[in-house]
Amino acid sequence: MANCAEVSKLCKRYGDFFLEDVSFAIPEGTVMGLIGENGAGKSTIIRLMLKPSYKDDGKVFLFGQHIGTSVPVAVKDDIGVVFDECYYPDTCNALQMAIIFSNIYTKWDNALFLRLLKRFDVPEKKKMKEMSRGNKMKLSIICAIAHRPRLLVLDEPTSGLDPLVRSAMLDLLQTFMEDERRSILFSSHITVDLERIADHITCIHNGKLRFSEQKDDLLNKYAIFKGTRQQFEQVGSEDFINIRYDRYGVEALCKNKEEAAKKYPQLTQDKVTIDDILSHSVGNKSYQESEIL
Amino acid sequence: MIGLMYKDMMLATLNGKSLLIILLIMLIPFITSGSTTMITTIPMIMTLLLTMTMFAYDNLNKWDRYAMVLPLTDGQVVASRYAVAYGLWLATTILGIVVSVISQSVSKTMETTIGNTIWGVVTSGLAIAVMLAIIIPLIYKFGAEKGRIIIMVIILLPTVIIQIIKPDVASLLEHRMDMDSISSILAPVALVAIALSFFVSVRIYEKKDHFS
Repeated sequence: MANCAEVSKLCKRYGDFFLEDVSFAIPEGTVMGLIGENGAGKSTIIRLMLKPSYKDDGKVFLFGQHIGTSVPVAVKDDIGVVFDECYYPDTCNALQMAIIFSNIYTKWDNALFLRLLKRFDVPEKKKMKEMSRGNKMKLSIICAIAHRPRLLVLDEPTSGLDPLVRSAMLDLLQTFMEDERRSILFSSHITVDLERIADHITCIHNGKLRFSEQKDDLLNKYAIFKGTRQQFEQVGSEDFINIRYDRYGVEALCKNKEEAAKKYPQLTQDKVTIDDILSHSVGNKSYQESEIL
Repeated sequence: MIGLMYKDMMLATLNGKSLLIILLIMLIPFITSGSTTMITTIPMIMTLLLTMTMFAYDNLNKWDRYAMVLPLTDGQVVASRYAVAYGLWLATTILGIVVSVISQSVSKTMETTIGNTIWGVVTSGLAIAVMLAIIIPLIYKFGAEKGRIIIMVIILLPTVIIQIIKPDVASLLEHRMDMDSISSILAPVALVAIALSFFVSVRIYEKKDHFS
């Protein structure tokens, strides 16, 4: 399967923040979830992909093409971008935005745009400044989809939105993915959203790549093991990514659940979520609550 | 590029209509009295205010962050801004000429001919074209907020210079040849200034990190 987008050993220094040797690929027809805590470097990666001249080192490939300092216009025409904020002029309405974009994107589909506005209840003639944040973000995604891009880049578009709007937005993205040649790079720290639509998960922590794997592999291989402090005294910490102690017992994340289950039959095994993996992978390393409080 | 020009026109004309009405109301006494000074400053005030409006709105909405991902080159993004700014400049200069002709016809106290008055508007229009060429790259470099201060300085500087050297404006208007020579110098200067200004603005825009 060809890659829709790929970054290789991407580096960028912003003051004391350093994005270091980040590499991952988004195969065609898949949704890549980019996770990590606030300030981990997710938005930086997206910016470097869209404006490679900002990078200090590394390579960016879009649709198989190596991108030098700037993304060619023809390539940008195939990319739809939604940022965490809506940067459209606040005095414009949805129909005026359509006039602007129809004169910029070569494949702008106005009929699709109007259909999506109706389907997702986005007002046509309300000015941006009068719209709710939810409607603004829905409009941003509709505009990004209406020019029929091959790659959709979403930089935390669901943060701060209520579950109903988030659900509507995910429906919209699922509609977009009905065409199997399309791909999405979806940066978010709301991992429930990614669990619903992502095929791959890339985790960034402090500017470094933690992992980039298929979501199903993560959910099938990883597991949370629970037990008492006495039970955990007999386990080797090298078998777990992270171990957490609290007043009720001990919880640990392991990368190979079958091996761990054989080795430590005394521990209880729980199904893992992306949120568990994220919090154990990038959260505080093994600690005891009593040491903190 | 047409899409961006449409957006800029929308932003510029957002306050443009009310600005135009206010200016026309303000102009009535000048038209009837035949004061050429105010009439020739119409293009300057209008063009500079409308250009600033475009930059201020883009800054407010952080539009340049989004423009970065549109299928346009940095040169095209900057070119659309210049096209609208100089389109407005042309429109307001023509407006200045029309108003000055009306003023000349209405007023019976004018000291100069219609030809001289039009020439005066054209000359000030060319001076404004040069001013715009200086202002736009500075706004790209320093942003719309600091740009306001820069504009104030650029507008006030010639006024201060005029106050220092105190030229006889009335006699300048009477001597058509002098105005001709000023315009003939200003026309190529404006063209070169616009070309240089555009080149510098594109370079600034290319290097600017719109997320910082």
